[in-house]
Amino acid sequence: MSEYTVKTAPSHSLVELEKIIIDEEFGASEFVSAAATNFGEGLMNRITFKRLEAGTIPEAPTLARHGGTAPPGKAQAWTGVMLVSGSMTAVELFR
Amino acid sequence: MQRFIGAILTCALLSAGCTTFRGAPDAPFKSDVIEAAFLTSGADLQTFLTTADEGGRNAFIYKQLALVDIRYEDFVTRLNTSRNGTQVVHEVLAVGLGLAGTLVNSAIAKTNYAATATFLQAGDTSVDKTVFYEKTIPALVASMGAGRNALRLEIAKGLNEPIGSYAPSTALRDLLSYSRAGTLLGAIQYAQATATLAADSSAKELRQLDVCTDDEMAIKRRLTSSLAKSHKPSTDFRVLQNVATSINLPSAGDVESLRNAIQERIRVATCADRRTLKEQFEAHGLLLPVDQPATKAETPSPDSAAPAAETAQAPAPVEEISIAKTQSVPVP
Repeated sequence: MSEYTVKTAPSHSLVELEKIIIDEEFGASEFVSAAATNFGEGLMNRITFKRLEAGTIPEAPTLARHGGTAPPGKAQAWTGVMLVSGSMTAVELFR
Repeated sequence: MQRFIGAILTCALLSAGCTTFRGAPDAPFKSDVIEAAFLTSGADLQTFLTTADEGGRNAFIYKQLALVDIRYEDFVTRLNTSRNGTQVVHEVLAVGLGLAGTLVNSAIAKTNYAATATFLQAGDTSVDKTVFYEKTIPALVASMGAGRNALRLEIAKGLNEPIGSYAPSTALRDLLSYSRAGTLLGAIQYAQATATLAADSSAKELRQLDVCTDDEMAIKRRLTSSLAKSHKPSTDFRVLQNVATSINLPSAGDVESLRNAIQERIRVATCADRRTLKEQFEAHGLLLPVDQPATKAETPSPDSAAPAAETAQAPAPVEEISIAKTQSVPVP
């Protein structure tokens, strides 16, 4: 399935970013990766998703600060640096 | 010949045993020879600045170009061969990001460049510095090369101009700019200047995600679930065609194309648009009924109909997700 990229404002909290990712995945997409990217007017989060088959919703992910413990029953699916509440933050996505 | 190539490949592969193999030929001139031959004294500079002779002007410019080029080549070679030296890696990253932080106008970007530099220097193992370095250096070198080429062209044009049009003082300024273009600062300046326009246009094309309400999230989830193949109407060509027409999608020849087109519309729908989509799904009999048998994790609500059986995993109800995560994930 093909991939596509979207962006989010740098000011979102971790909880908001997690909701945004979950919401995007409700459209038959799956999170692939994210990176803080300079778009000229400032840094934003650039997030890449993979299109899934129509009607498919992946298991809901959990986004957390890097270094914490994995939620029960979930494993780390991605780690990287995102802008969280305006600051560079090392985060992990569990699924 | 084949044995020779074989020896080179073997050397490359077993580099531990061939320590003299550098992956690059020796330069035709030693840099110290060039330095000794072309280094300019104060008197040379004075002569150059006061010359009225194009030949003398150009000879001086060619010497300085050669000196700048040989120093640049040395610099790039050192950058490319130092990737395993962690001290050099740290310094380049700190310099690159620190300089970037001084160049951008946005206050938040300044903060974040600085934060990244600090973050990378802090020794956090989640970021592989060597990988970052290996990805950064080619970009910086490419940017330096592009900036140098642009200035080199200007100087080449000047060399063909009469002394009245391209004065030695102007040439000296261009030579200094040419030298500066071959630095990390020059690379970042060039990248910043040329990337802004391209970045602005590409950024505008990207869809920006925002936080939707729980109800809006639940609608999106229900719409996607309605397209699962286990939900019979989603395999009915006529139903899909009617929905597609009602939401202004072009007609398609088969069920799969229609399902994919409708799914894409759901995917890109704004928070507010979802209610309209839901109305059209409902009007044409595509919306998954709320009394559809729910999975164990489901708590049926008007807009949290169960995902169909073939979905990858049955996610928890939207209401549960948003509330639970708010409580369990520390707010930064």
